[in-house]
Amino acid sequence: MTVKKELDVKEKIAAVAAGAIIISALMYWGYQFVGMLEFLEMAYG
Amino acid sequence: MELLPFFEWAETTFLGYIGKTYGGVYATFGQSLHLMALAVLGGSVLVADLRLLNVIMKDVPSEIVTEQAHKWFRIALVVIICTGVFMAAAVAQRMYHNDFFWAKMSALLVGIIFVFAIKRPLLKGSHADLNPIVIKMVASASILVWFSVAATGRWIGFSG
Amino acid sequence: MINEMLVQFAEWLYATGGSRAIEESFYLYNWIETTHVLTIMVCLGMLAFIDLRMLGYALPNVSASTIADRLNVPMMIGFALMFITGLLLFYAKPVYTNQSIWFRIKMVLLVVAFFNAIRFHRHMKASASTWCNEPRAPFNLRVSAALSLGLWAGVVTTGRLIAYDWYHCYRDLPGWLSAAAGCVAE
Repeated sequence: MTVKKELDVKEKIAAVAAGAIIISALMYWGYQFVGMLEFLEMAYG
Repeated sequence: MELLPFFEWAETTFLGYIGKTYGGVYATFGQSLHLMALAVLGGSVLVADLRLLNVIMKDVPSEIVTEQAHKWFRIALVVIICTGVFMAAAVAQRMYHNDFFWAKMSALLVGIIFVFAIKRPLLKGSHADLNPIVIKMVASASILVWFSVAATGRWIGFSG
Repeated sequence: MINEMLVQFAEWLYATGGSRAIEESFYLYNWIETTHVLTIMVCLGMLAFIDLRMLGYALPNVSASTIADRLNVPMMIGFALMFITGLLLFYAKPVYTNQSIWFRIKMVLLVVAFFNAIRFHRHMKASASTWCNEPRAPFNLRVSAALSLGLWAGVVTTGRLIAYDWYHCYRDLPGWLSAAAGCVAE
């Protein structure tokens, strides 16, 4: 298998979209997680 | 755009009436079928994406695996959307005010666009010609987005 | 007799600190349940693909024993998570769950699914080499695969229905249903 150096347009779009999804998903669940910690602090001091 | 009237209307439709009036129909044809379709959808996503990540079935060509998995992905998606619309219609006004509902709809929309406009066209030809890092990014994003759709879906029921 | 013992056991579990801690924690309980539901995608997703392969509906051009073998590991990982989270969910609400008719049907279906899986593996082991490149498995394996899909559909449905108390002991139930749900005289 040879790995190309240059990405074609389809690959570039896919990489950007996938990267955006990965970052947003991690940020969303990270935000939810922080929300839970704050809730716990409120509930238990 | 004001969407609330649409959600109010949805509850007054026949579908909304059935789901609201008959708890048994709502729970079995709505929720249970939704979960069975989730199993098939999850299976098709994981079979294809774990193959693309080189975790499972390394001895089967990824072109064959992704092609076949996509067939079942489409079937599961149709069932999930139909049962989902049925469930949402019965409790439409509550859905309108539920943050997780909107999070789920956003994730679902992103997932559908990602699969049909980006992932499928990318994986159409021989996968050997594609950059392996891009393939792995696409597979990870796909797993993340569909698990997020499922998880936010469950949380609709826990909030509001 | 057995129902009285189960109630006693459930009440004892309910009184333990861990059980109270899980049920009273909004985030802990709901995340355990979310994990339980998400493992449907892993465990039952893999199971569905194995069964659909046997029936000739998925990946017919890939060897059946390859599919069954390669998907078995992720399926079992999913199952382990599902089992642990399921135990925790029972632990958090033992009194209610023990007397849920849906939970009881679900357990019966799980036991039947377990024996069906054993039967499936035995037949698979004995015969796979002779037919595994065929698009469909032989009749008796197709029966097991179809049964497996049906049983797990039942497990999912009854599992979902545990949340509903339509037939709980505090309702007005016919005698047989009351006994089946494990209701005991106060």
